[in-house]
Amino acid sequence: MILIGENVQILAKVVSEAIQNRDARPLQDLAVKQAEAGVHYLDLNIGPARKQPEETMGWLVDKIQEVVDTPLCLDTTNPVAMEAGLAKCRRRALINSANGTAASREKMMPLARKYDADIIVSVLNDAGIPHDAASRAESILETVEYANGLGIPSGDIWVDPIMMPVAVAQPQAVEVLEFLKMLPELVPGARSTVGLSNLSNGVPTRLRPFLNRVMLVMAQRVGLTSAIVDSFDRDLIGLAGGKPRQMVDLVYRAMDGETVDLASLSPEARDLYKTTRVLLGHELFSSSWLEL
Amino acid sequence: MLEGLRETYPGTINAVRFGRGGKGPELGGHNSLPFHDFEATRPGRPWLALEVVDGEPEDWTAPVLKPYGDAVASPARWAARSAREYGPDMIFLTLNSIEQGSAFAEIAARVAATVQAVDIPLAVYGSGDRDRDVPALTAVAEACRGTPLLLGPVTRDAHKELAEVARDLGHAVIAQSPMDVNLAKDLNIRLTKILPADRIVIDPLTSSLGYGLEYSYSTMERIRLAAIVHDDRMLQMPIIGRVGKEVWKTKEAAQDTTRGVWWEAFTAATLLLAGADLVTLRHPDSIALVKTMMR
Repeated sequence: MILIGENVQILAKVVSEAIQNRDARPLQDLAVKQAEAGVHYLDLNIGPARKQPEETMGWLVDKIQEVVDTPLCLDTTNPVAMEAGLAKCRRRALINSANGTAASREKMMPLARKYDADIIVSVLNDAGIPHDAASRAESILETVEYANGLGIPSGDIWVDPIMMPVAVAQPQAVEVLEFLKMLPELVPGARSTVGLSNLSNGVPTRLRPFLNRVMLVMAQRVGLTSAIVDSFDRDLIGLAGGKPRQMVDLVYRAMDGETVDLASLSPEARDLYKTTRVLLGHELFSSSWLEL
Repeated sequence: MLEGLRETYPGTINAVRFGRGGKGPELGGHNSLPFHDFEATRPGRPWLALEVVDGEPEDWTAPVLKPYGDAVASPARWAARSAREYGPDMIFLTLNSIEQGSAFAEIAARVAATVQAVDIPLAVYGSGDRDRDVPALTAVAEACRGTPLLLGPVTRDAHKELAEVARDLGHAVIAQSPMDVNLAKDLNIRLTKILPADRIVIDPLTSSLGYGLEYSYSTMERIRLAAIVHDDRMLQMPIIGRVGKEVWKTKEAAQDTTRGVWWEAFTAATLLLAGADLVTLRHPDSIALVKTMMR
């Protein structure tokens, strides 16, 4: 499992202020701490970057590369900012992201070829975000075919099925899992990734990690090869490495439909089991799901 | 032949009991989808409530007040007249006087008089302002100890205080959450830590025809399917649709009373189809129309 650290991201106040003031220290601190936490890529999310797109991404890449050697995942919807960042990356970069919309095909996708970068391609297209596994498959087949036509091999593509918030669209978690199962046959050789934290958007902060962790274990089991994650969730990083084993196995058992006696479980295991049932759609979500 | 096409479902809606000592009529208690009595082993019939207010009926237009004549000056007389002449299952009393500055003891005395004046169950609804509702409804709950009332709104913010009052004094509550099945469930999980589940009614908020009724419909339908088809215990509470207030504030209803009556009746009928167990109405002609439709 390749982990992409999400913590340099524009929605965080400390990050947006540091970028605005061109104050590199807080950003460099975040980068170093994430690298130490063991993630394999650092996501640099500057949002749409309407003002000074080139200068902003270029500056950020330079400053981060001053302190870490971790490969970078450049995260912006602005192709001008993306190109400026790619031009500065010392190591092979990951573009985050392209999709099937006309604008993205024209402006974002060609950058992967031009800069010899890997590229995250999501299932979004001009019709919106597909609502089930089958329409995700249909969308990605078309988009990948187009990318291949541009000379981007499937091996450079990291497919993003788009993780929806469970508080808004609970059934989507199962659709994402179904899609991930199908992916190796749909796009042989492609990798995959998800923006994991989006799953728990809108959920009280204290409870978010439970959802993220269980989803990662389930998605990894059905073939997910990477995820964009909170670098500072140690338990999550442990689970991505298969530890602790009995917790991973418990999630697997719940996925396999085994009924587990709650009384036999430790409090931590009980939380994990209840969360698995919610994500599988066996229990309607509410933010008190652990208290049932 | 038809026997084979019948579905049975695992879930049952809780029966909320009213009347002195809880020996009166039951709201809910059925185990089928709306109007699927042919599939139910415990059939049910939704309740139709007529709205009454204490204090000044500021948000009522003259044509809707007219049928009640001078009874509107007193909630007890208004409720008695509505109950006698139009045959509702419940009186839904909104405490306008909370915002109009009445003392809590006076409010409680008026509610107690209203309870005495009718022999059908009473719901008592506050202003939605937590700081005033908690003391006002607490006073009401104490004054009416022994006769279960349906008290609301109980929102997530103030759920503890009001749920404890209801628990201690034998009343039921209306749990209000903003048009979202997940939030409705969350509030019920919190409330059932304090109150028995059969003393909770879900208010997922209502919008009127033409003003987002689709959202109300969809939310109620999801709650009801989760309760009946998926046996979700934290959603097996009766659902209330507060129709009258929403309908009569629309310009369509305000401008033309006949149109308003149809607007009110069809908003109510739509929500009954979605799964509401209790709808509140204002105009006597609307309740007559909905009764006809239900037959």
